[in-house]
Amino acid sequence: MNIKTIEMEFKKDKEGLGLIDITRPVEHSVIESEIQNGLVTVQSADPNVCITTMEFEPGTIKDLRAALDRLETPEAKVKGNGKEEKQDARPVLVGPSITIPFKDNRLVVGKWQEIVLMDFDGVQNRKRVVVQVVGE
Amino acid sequence: MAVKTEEFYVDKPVEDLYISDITKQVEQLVDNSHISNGIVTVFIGCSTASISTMKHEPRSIKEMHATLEMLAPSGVEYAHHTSTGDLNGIGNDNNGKSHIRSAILGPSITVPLKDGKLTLDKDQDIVVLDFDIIKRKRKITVQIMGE
Repeated sequence: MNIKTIEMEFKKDKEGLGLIDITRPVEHSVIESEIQNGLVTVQSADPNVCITTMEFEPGTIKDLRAALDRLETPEAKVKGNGKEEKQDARPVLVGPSITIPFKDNRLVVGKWQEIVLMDFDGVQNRKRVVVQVVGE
Repeated sequence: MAVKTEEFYVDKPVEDLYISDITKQVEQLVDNSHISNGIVTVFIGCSTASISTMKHEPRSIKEMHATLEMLAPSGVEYAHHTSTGDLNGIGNDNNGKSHIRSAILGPSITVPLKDGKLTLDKDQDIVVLDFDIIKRKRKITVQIMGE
């Protein structure tokens, strides 16, 4: 069995709604690993960032953000102060990681399914993501 | 260590939320794999359905319907409905709520496998939550990794 763990950083999406399509870098990690069959785990190493899959198009991005923003509490609206992260339950709902099987070195994702990082205004300017490829 | 990646299809016979219990199908693939200890990943490759675990019985299903309505209600105009980005070619883009629900619940789960059995409680069934608003057939991928 082989295990490859790759750390990545993504620049905070300051203009948009905080969603970044990270499908290509994850696919690239699988290809580079040369592992043919196995599982890739994509994990956010930032308390205010979650990982999911979705159809990454402007309408859905807006809708998802709006649905989660309806759940934002007054406490979560208080920004982090640069030293401490703010408290926000929204990223916890979606969760910090996803796992996706791959076969013959290709992820089994659907045609309209992108891997997406969603940032809830954490203080860090760089979003750290860990990608682990496990298999044989 | 061995890796077995299998798939099967599940029907969605209604035009709104449908929750299917797929525990038996997953267990069958695990039995066929001859892997006894490891992890099992159940994944759906789409953006309008999710995989999770729950008790698959009428009251829990009703509760799930109600909670999902709070999270992303029906009968609301979503940006996705008019967005030019939706090119899925199915001829149906009024499923904004389905996309939100799917992104929040996620596409996969992983369950440990010990001595040939999934480590699930008896009240914990593996389910496909299909949020789309048309009838469809869904491909489910099951990957068994271990020894």
